Amino acid sequence: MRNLWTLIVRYQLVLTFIILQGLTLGWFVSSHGYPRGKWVRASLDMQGTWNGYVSQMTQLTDLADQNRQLLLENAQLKSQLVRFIGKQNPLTLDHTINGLIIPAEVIRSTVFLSSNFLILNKGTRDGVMKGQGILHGPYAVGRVIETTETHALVIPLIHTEMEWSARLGSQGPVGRLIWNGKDPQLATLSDVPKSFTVRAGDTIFTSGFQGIFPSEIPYGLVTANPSVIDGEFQNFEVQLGAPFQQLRYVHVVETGNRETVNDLMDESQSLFQ
Amino acid sequence: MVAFIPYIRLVIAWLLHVFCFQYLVLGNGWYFPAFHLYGLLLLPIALSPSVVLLISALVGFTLDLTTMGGGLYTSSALMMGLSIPAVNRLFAPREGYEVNDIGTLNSLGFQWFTSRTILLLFIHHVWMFSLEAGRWGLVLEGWGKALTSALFGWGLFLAAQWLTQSNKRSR
Repeated sequence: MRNLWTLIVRYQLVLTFIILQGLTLGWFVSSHGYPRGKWVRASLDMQGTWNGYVSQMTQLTDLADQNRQLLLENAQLKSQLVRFIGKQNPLTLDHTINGLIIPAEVIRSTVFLSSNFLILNKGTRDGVMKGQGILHGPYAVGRVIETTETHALVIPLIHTEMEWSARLGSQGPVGRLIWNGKDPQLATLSDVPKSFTVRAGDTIFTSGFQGIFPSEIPYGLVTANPSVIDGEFQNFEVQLGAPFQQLRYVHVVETGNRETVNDLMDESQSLFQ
Repeated sequence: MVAFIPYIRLVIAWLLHVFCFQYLVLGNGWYFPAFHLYGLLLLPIALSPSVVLLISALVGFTLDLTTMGGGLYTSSALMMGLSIPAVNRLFAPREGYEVNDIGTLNSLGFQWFTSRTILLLFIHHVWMFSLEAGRWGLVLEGWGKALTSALFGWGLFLAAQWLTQSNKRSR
């Protein structure tokens, strides 16, 4: 017993390091790529206000202010259109947005990490909820994963841990859109059957299967780079439409069928367990 | 009062990082300004290794909480905290350190400051960028970022030293 105590005292530094590093790595692994929970909400609250100030400081020109007003007005008009005039999304034709479009400002964003994130200046008080999709103009941007009363944390398309359900053209096959962690404007569409002919400039749309975005929201366009054959499938490079390095104003959208999709997916998963 | 200066500097460097430097995106993420480490590097040399480790953990942990690092900064700061005493021994002057030595440019000279800062920043950044990469395909690029960021950090800390230190040299 005494020898053990002597050993602990002698190696106290290394032992302390191992214990602390073990706890920290546990925290890191559980939160990397998908930060959720109390500490994220606390962090959003702590940083949110300051991020808002920093964001305002960078917005010095009148042009930016006018642009903001126009975009907010535009989003409000779109929202009214969806609610009162035919329940159609004015962005494209066949979307089923559940009458909810919330304009928001990106007050903090990262682009050059492998697990990037965005912070929006809107939260539950404004109707933003976990699981909702984010659009920039007509383009898909990401998904809300955590909210506080006043802020929301978003995982963008440029995140190496995420896969996004995508459709080639409006009638084509469905594949997975993945970001490889390098260029913030380039992603890869994989799992498209080899038999399909794909041309540069073809649009890649959301499939609507994940319940995050309505269907037929564009992710971006196929680039001129040749496809890579992988067995019976082919992979394409996609130029993402949302300008992730300059994101400022976005819209939060609710598909309306998110809960239904999640319930059905949970049910189908439980069948196979 | 003088004894508290390194700890006051630690807090100021941390605050500067949280409120200013974390928003800087330089060279497409290849130059990470880890200014919160400035105070850690300038702790008294004679400080117990266990205390250095605990202070490093605290600096990383509070940074993780305020910037949504999720353990990334704590883990990397711990790695650096463990390395500080070893690196200090590696670069110890022939006659050894004096009791009141701190890791500043004025206290131990340009060569010592440069070698120690670059090595410790590199250790911190290699760990941090490797963890952050999350997949093998991105690790090599992460090491490249670690090297460029370590050199950038050294330049930044050197500038901070020149701006804040008097010209008196203790050795």
